[in-house]
Amino acid sequence: MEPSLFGFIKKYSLRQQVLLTVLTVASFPFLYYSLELPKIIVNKAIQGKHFPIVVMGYTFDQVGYLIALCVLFLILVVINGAFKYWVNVYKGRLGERMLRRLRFQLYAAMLGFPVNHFARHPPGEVIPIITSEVETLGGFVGDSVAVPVFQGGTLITILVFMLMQDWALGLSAIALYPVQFYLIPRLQRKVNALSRERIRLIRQMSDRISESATGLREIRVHATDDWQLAEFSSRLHVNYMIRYRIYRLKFFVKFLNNFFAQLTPFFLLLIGGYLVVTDEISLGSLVAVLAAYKDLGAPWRELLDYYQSAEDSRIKYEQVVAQFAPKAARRAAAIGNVEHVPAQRLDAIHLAMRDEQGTTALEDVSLSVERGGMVALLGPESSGKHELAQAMSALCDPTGGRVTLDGEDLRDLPSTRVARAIAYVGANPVIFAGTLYSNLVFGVQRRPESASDAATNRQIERLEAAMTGNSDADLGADWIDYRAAGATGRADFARCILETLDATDLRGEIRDMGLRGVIDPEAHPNVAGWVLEARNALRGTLEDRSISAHGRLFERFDRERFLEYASLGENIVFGAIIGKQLADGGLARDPYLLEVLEAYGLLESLVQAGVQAARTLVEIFSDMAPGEIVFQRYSLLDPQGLTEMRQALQRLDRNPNGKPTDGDRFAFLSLALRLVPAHHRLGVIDDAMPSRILEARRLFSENLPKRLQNAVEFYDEASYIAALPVQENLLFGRLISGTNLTDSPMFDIAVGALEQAGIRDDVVQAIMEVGLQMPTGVNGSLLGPALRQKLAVARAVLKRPDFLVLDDALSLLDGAAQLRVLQALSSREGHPAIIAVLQRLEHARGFDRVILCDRGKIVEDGSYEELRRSQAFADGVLEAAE
Amino acid sequence: MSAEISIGTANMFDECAVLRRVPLFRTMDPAKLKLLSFTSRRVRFPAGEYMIRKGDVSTAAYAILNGQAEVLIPVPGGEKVIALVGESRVVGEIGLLLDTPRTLSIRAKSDVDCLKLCRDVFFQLLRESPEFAIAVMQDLATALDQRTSQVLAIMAERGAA
Repeated sequence: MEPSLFGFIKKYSLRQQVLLTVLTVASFPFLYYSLELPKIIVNKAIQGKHFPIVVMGYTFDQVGYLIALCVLFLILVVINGAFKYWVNVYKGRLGERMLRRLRFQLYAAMLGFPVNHFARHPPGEVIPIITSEVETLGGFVGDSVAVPVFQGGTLITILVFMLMQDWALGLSAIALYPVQFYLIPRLQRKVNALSRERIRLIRQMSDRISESATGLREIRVHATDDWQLAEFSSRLHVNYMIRYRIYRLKFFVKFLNNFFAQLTPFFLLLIGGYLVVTDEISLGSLVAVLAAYKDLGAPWRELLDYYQSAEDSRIKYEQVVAQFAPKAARRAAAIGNVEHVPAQRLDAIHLAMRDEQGTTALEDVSLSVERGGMVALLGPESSGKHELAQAMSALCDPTGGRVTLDGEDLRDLPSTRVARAIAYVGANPVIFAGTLYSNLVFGVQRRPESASDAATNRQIERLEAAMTGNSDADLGADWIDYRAAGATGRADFARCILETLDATDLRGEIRDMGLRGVIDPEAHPNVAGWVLEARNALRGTLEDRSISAHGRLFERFDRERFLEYASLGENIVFGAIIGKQLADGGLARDPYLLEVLEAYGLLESLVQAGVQAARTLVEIFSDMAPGEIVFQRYSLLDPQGLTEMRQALQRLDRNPNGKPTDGDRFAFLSLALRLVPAHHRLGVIDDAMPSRILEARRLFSENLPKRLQNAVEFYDEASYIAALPVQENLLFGRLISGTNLTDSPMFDIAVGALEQAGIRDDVVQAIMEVGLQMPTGVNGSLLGPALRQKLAVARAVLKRPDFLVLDDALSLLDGAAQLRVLQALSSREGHPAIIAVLQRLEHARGFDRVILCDRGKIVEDGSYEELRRSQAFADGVLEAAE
Repeated sequence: MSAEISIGTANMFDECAVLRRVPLFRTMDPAKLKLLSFTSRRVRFPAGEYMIRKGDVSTAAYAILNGQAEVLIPVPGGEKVIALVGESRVVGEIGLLLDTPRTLSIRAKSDVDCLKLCRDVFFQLLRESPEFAIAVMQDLATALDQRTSQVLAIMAERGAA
């Protein structure tokens, strides 16, 4: 990165700056002439006497001359406007491009930071640097050369003119410049120091805010809002004081400048007047100098503003670069693809590591791991086992010795090569916001060789990227490197993913998520197709088995039957509400529904049912705090809804005719439509209601008006219902237990039926595809900690590294699950060599070699059995970390 | 895997009447009783199904609405019925309080309809109603007292033999 702002500007925009300057200068005569022309029009065309006149061979009478000059004026106005427009657009574009380049460089530099950098430096400080701090630099870049050249040039021209009128007078006009040159930079330096301070403060503040945001839970737990607010307030105060001082200084500079500007005419009049009186110069000269001096003010102010913003930008740039450059130099970004050659061995040779405080973490450790080997690292937390694992993954640089991959020092290898050969997984892996799938394939992303369909539209994007040193890779193309995962292509990739999920004990969880998942069948036609096939295959079996054996396990979406596990609204529509016309209580207000209900005399009974339900709910939940989990889970109404219900009931009871108002009727009806008979056993559904609801259901679908066609999705046995989870689509019904299909006795029945139909694997794959679309949330917050660990291991396994380093990577799994995963990983064909930091010796059962570290050294090295017999084991050192 | 099978439409007010006969809920405020009933899931165990299985960790407790169930203890070679429970009895309430494996099994003798009590609501009631908390404590104390007597009796028997 360029160390100085002007270096940056010169390096990346010299040509454009020259062009801008030339343009600016070229625009000047036009501007000058357009200012002169009105004078000429008044003096010569309007007040002129000697007509006709001859100009450039043409003869004009007075009116003709006036028209010609006015047309010329109009042309000049257009030319000036065009110049201005063009120069501004060009400047803006140049500024944006330079800004883009700078941001890209900063982001790329950040990617090159040592991985443990943000453990010691707050990450919240980097964000404002790349986003807001550099923002103003873009505006400055366009002005950086053109403004000083142009305004400076103007200033000098005027000065020369003045000096030519009279040198003494000219000098007196600029007599105060030395004072200004002396004073203003000194004041500016103070402003600069304050600006620097302010930038630092804002960075700290951003970091503080992001820390509070992530630590919200702890703040709530310990109720430290008061301290947080006081702390933030004190930061705001310091910031305010700095800003206030900056303003004072800045405007003092302006004041000084104005003052000197007013002071100069004083000298001009005094000295000039004296010279005129003593006949040294003519009155005309004095007037001309005074007029010229007036014009001097504008460029001088412009230059001063420029100086201030140049200083401001220079400081910002230097601050930013100082923050980024020194740390980034260590590693170039991993760009481009390398052909992978399987690595055979990974060696740590006389490795030593000392942390910043000088504490020894590793001392002369040597360890060789060959392809396919299984090495367990054990020992106390500070034994050096973690450092060894990290050094062997190129995540921290040793202070002595080296780590080599097939004989080559890791530090000399391109990081793409290292990443392909070695996969490290720590105890707290980062899960990116996205889906399980996007996280799983994170490690097998490579720059695509073929372009996306949209590639032809990308020409401008690529051109711009090339001009600003940005990445021109096609983000829309397929970035997955199927071969890296061991697949022959896209179709085969699903198999690799399933194998990986099996090896990491994830299949069950992801299957459950898939069964609960909701998908858009148009985006996943394959999945919808298989689910429908499965629905057909299951139909007969489920009817027989589930109804005969134990009463009912699930309720089929049977058009001819009243559904006890569906809301009354769902019963009438016999489908899901998908359009916004009917959502959020819109159903109860829709005239069509009201018409249908009226036709079967249901409207009144449903409103009454709503009233009854409201009474019970108000009674049960009224004195409960709205935040209670019970309230949230069971009340059917949110706190506001409950209050509204209470008020509606009060209005009803006050009304002498005993009827709810029209508005309240909708509210009661809406509540009634949300009742699920089996869950909300409020005794409000009489015996006659189910059959009338069935009739209403028929009528509702038969006469559905066109405007509602896209608002409901009917439960049609022949089609995939996008609004329902996969498992309900699969069963074409709802589980009565309200649980996952896998927890129900139905599951085995269903699996058996699919097996018989010969489509089990395809259906499973479809369900897994849905499960993998599950969102992970910010930092994987939607996943449990153990699931995050397993996902991270799966991510590492999928790319088939030669060496898999598990640094407490399964520590949150229970013992049996850890063993299961380690066992599954090591029993795969051609599995990677595994270097695993483990907590307990018993987890190392399947390993060829167990190493015990203590105080940065290897103290035991042998087979599992040998270690079991060792003194260290007997002393309990091996279990120390427990 | 539980063999709970929910049954269809029922009326929570009838359930409340049954719950009212449960000693634990005898003095409970009607609104609270309705809350308990409303938030409980109505389930049916066909005859022969286990409602609670020894060794399982589960948080379910059931209030029996009708039918009979057997309380079983493990004996060498099988299980032995030590008690019968029927309408208005709550079984498995320890599970509401603790996440420990079940010490006894309970099996439906006839078809058993019951309410599966919800832990959140149970705790809510404990917090809100001291009378209920006392009733629960008394219930547990009674059970403890009985067990102690039984243990003492067994020890006395052994001492005598």
